[in-house]
Amino acid sequence: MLDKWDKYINNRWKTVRDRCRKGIPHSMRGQAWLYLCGAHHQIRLHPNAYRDLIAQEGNEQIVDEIRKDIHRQFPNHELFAQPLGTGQTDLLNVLKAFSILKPDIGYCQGQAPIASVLLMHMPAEQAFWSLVAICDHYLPGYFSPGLEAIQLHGDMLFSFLKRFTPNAHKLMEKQKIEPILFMTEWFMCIKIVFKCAIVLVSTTLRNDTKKTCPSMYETLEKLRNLSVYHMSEPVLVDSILKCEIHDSDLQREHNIHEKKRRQKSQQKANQTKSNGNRR
Amino acid sequence: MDKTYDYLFKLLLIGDSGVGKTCILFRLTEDAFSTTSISTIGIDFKVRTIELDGKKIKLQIWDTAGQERCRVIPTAYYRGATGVMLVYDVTNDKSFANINNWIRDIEEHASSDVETMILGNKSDVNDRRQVSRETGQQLATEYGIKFMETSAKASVNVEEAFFALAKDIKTKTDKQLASHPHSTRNTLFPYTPNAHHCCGKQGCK
Repeated sequence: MLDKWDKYINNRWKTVRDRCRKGIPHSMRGQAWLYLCGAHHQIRLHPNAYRDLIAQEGNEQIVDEIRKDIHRQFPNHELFAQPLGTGQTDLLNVLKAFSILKPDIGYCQGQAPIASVLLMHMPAEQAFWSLVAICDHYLPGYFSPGLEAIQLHGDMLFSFLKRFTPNAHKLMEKQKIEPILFMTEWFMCIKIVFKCAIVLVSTTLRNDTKKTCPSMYETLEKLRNLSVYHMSEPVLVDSILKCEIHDSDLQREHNIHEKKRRQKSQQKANQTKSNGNRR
Repeated sequence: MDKTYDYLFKLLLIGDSGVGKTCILFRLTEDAFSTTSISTIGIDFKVRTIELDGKKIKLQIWDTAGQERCRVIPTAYYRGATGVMLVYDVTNDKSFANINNWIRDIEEHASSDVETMILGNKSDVNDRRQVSRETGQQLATEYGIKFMETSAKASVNVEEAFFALAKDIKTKTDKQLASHPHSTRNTLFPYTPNAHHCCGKQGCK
């Protein structure tokens, strides 16, 4: 399939999708990801770019921040266990190269676990271009200063929760639990996204009321320690398939909340302006 | 419901990335230290119940990612907090220099009567030390807040620091309770809207 990739991805998208859903065999996973996110094109287009980027010094402050994290990713995985071993060195290089290529993003702590997982499955150069593709096309804005995109997605998730699991939504609202308190790590490390998040919140908090979760703490604790049963593949996939959210729903919520956010920041700007005028 | 504590305090751990916030929390709640820690993304929290003057105090301690750009989370994070542990790394002078920024952050987002304490962590590592105990103490004195050097690894002063902070919060809470005996709920779970702005004076808590 990879040999005739262009044909498959352009004309037989359903076959690709079904094979992915069946599960990509472990030995093929790295290559499959590389092709799926389109990073193989970038490697062909810019054959020397990665080598040139890692040869550069990079921004000292950013490299400092990266250095603090490279020994704190999957420290029990054999690839990353050795201080400054291959895994940690590659991770530093990949993240540094990214920060040089995309100075407006630089480095965000959420990128390190993603880069690490990529490195477990493919060589550094491929991991680098896959990270670039993921940050460009799949999680745009997730790692930019201010984390606007995450907050926007948090608002969207909350709207969906209100629709699909009003009980849990009400409880959270009462306890002033903002979505970013529990979804940042889920979304940022691509562990759990929309449908999956909705299902998990709804199954986890289905029977909870003020009695079982008297405060924010108990509720968040439950969401941090999701039950193995709810996370098990058959249960989870089954519920996700039953959860009816379409791309159009996502797009609609996205537009609504983007508008709200824009208005809010506009209001804020106006306020500061009028405050400034008063002075 | 059975209430297993007399007081509930929400405490925050803040400070630069890599200063050891998560390790301090791990030492306090599990009495252990792991050399293979992972960077915190988003927010984590743990609970430890302590006893002070015969009263049970439940400490709910929040831990967050230290990286500067993750500071969007503050409003939700600071809400209802009664105490803040502000941590720097004695082997990293930048983390110490940043204490000033963190204090501004607290003044902007936390309730005005929040109790703050500065911790200089990794005090066991003497050969790479960049910030002396005196320098740390001096800064804390300037701000009029308490200071301790800690080592999560060698288990030095972690428990002591949290007891000291809890004691100060308890004293303050008791005083408030005595002057407003009918407002128990508000003083035990002080919720101040985040719109509060501190007067900005040094030592203002």
